[in-house]
Amino acid sequence: MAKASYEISFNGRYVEVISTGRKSIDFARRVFTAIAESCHEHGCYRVLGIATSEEALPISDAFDHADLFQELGIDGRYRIAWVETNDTAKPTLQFVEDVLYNRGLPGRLFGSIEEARSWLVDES
Amino acid sequence: MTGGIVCAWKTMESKYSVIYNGRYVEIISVGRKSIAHSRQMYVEVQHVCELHECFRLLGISLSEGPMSINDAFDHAGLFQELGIDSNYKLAWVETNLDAMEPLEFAEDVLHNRGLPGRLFKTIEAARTWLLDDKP
Repeated sequence: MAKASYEISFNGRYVEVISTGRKSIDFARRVFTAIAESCHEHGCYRVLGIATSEEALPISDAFDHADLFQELGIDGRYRIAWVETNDTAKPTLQFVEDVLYNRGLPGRLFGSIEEARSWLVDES
Repeated sequence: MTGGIVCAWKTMESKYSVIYNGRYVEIISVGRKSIAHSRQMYVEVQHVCELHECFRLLGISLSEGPMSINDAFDHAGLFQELGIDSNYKLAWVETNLDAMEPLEFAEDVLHNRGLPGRLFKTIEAARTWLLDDKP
């Protein structure tokens, strides 16, 4: 199994996160803690995530994402667009998106980077 | 959320939480599903509904594989036993498309017996229907 890794950068318009490897709730905690820190540092709460997961997030870990966001204060101020390039990992992320949506938390899944970026920088 | 986590249950195979959010009771359910999982969960659901006098339910599920047809069929008996009747409005969203067939069967059985439970493909559609005052 490839160890999960990520890189975060700020490009002046949004915070971009690229992540790869085997995902878990522990990894998500590290990534979203770093995202929140970067957002606070730059005063920018728009986030584009581009993920290439090795496999689907464990179902049990998907369950815990909404609580993680609430714990980290990732709330309605944020606009998070997420793209997953591994199709087999998408259904679990769809579930995470549904739970976040239901709780009024940010996080939208897109089929392509262009679509995600366009939604993210749209002011409407 | 208004009600906080009222209850949660975890086993090696499945997890759920039942939360009242001020408008409806949210059920999040993941893992391997069975009638035993449902029994445990709906006992809590019924308790939370009565506690808050709210009988609107939104379920968001990610099943690990399809439930057995026998277990799907047994949901009607379970609902009748627990008094989950037409006073309830239950919208259910299942993310795992491979798990849909037994749920569609359960939906038909519930419908034929005048019991609540409607499957939706998207959470937006489920929530819209749930919060609509039409029956």
